Amino acid sequence: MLKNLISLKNPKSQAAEAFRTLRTNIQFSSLDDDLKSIVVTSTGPGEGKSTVMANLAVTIAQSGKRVVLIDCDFRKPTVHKKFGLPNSQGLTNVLAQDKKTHECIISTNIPNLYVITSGPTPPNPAELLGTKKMKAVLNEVGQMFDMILIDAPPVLAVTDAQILSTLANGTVFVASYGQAEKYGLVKAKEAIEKVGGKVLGVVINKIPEQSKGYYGKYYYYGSS
Amino acid sequence: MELQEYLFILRKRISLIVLITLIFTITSGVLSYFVIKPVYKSDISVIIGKSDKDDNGQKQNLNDVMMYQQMVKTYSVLAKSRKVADEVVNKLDLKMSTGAVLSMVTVAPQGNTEFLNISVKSKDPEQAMKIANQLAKSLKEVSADVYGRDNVKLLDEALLPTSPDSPKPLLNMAIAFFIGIMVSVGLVFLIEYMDNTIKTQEDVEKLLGLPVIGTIPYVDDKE
Repeated sequence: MLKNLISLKNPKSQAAEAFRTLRTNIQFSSLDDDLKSIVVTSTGPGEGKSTVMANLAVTIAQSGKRVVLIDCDFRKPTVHKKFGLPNSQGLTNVLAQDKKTHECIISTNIPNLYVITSGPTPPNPAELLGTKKMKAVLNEVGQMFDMILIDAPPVLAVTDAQILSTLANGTVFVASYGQAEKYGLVKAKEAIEKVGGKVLGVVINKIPEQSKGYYGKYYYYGSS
Repeated sequence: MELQEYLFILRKRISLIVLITLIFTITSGVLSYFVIKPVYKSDISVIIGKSDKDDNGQKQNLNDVMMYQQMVKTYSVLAKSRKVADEVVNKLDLKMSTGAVLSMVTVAPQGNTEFLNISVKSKDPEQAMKIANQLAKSLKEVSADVYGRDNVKLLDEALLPTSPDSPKPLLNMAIAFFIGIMVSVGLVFLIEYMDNTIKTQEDVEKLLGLPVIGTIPYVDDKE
């Protein structure tokens, strides 16, 4: 549930601070281009992608920017669960049917934070994401918001993330500590860059408490 | 890698290190106390030389002393000869071969002295003592036989060993303890080396040429 998000539950915690650092890093990772839409993906499932996304969205919303979180993981949607929303209507209805985009935008109880859930699982997710309609929807949403966060399926599992990376301004990898394989990450980066997507950087997630001493310095000094 | 990083790796798998070290130490202790049959050692010393006055009534001089010191080495070889061992087997009526008796015996000259130290190891403490005593006597007889002169003097009697010579459980356990530590630390670093998952910011930056834009600590959602 939403109230369990660390950024909301305990905004003074080290984890919440880490998300603020991430927000800052994303804002400054592209000074020239106006960074509007970001695909968040990972190499494999279960790396905490959706949790990182939700926290990041909350953190961005807290900074006063209007942000929308779009669940483009049609195969295994989780965003609606995180925010406790129904998923009977969503993005797939817009893409496959004639539903209007603005009808799908759901406001949350957090100011500035909006969600577009995935909608019913379609038989052809990759094809849906590759349509002109999808591009149009993203443009339309882009007019309404300062920032778009796109939840994509794992890169190495399906091609969806590759397609989405071409539609967005940047891609961020969530790599779970001790879980994401180095070689897998290299392949994921190649996959995104092959189709012309831009990888902004990597978020290392689930760093265990014990290694805080080792990572601690990064919290206070930040990194590029 | 920095020292801090090595320490972190060790700290992370401290339970594995403790476990392996404990297993080594306990195994060694169990083997030493219960499995390995204790071996007893009995010592006897003999002096190679003759009485102050020889047959002609002349006093010993330095040359004689030197000679006897050299002779100690000769006698040490003699003490391990088949003839002496045969003698021991016959006298004690042992039910073992000459070779078996010889394998129990260690003979060592005591530095630059006239002493010859004979050690006998056996699983039976009494047997060790008997063989040691008999060996010294047999050496005396055989040498008298061979050289025509009795140059061997028995200094003392071999005693019944009270505690086993080996195994030494505490020493074994101490050795096993250190081997356990070394093996487990080696294993920990091997595991770390084989592990090809993302662990540090450097991993990502070196390998991918991508910046690490966020480091999120582990958060338990279910709290």
